[in-house]
Amino acid sequence: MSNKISVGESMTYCPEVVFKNTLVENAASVMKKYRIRHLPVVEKNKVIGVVSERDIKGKSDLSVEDVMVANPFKVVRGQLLAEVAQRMAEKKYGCAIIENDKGEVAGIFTTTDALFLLSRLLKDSEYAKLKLDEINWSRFPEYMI
Amino acid sequence: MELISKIRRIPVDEFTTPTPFTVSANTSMEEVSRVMKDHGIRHVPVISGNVPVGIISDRDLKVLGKFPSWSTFIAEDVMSTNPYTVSPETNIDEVAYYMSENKIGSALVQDEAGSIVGIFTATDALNALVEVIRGEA
Repeated sequence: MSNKISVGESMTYCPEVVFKNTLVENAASVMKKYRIRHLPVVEKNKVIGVVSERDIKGKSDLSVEDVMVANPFKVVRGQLLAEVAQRMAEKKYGCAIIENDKGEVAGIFTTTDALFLLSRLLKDSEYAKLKLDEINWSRFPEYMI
Repeated sequence: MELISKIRRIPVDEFTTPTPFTVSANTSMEEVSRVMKDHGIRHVPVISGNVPVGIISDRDLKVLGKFPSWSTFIAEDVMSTNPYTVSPETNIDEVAYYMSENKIGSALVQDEAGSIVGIFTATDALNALVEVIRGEA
């Protein structure tokens, strides 16, 4: 197993995003539709915050800006996955936002992605024999793509 | 990149957080909330005679704020019943897969007698992932 795997290889590509004036009700319905719990909040292609299911639970008549966590944990695509996961564990972050070279959102890596990846890497099946870099990420369930 | 040549079995208890803080079904929600905040935990098992009967997450606490009379509630009123439980020997890949598929934040680890011995959360899974990737597990 390579310890060189980068977060960009295991993130969820092109996640759904919301804007700061999106209503929490609308953010909630996006989460429900795609079975996701984190949405990057984007302004001019830059991530300014993250809103999680936790943040909007029990809230209404507010915009995303009122409940989001500003300045979320952001990393670049090439950063080592092990480093990202370690930081998330230490700080109890639910997700990491992955940015491209221009500082735009490229993807998201959540604890659900971490759980799924962990199960894949250890699974007692033919998957365990796959080379990590040959895993076809596009065949992952819809909520992770 | 090297092949993952051997099938690796890691029991969940290798990455379980032992002796979690627990509450009982009639613990007041004020106390539950305090336990979670004081210890920085997001999941607290509800036990009856050391056997888990439910779990309360910080998500549940958020919803609670909507009820003006929430401070009169007890754990039993709020907990999710039938928490996901596994044995210490359950393979970690099975637990991680179930949690990811069902979007569950934690698994309670029970011994043969049904007593709770630990909790496996997404944070523990991240630590396991780090060790697996680095080839230490």
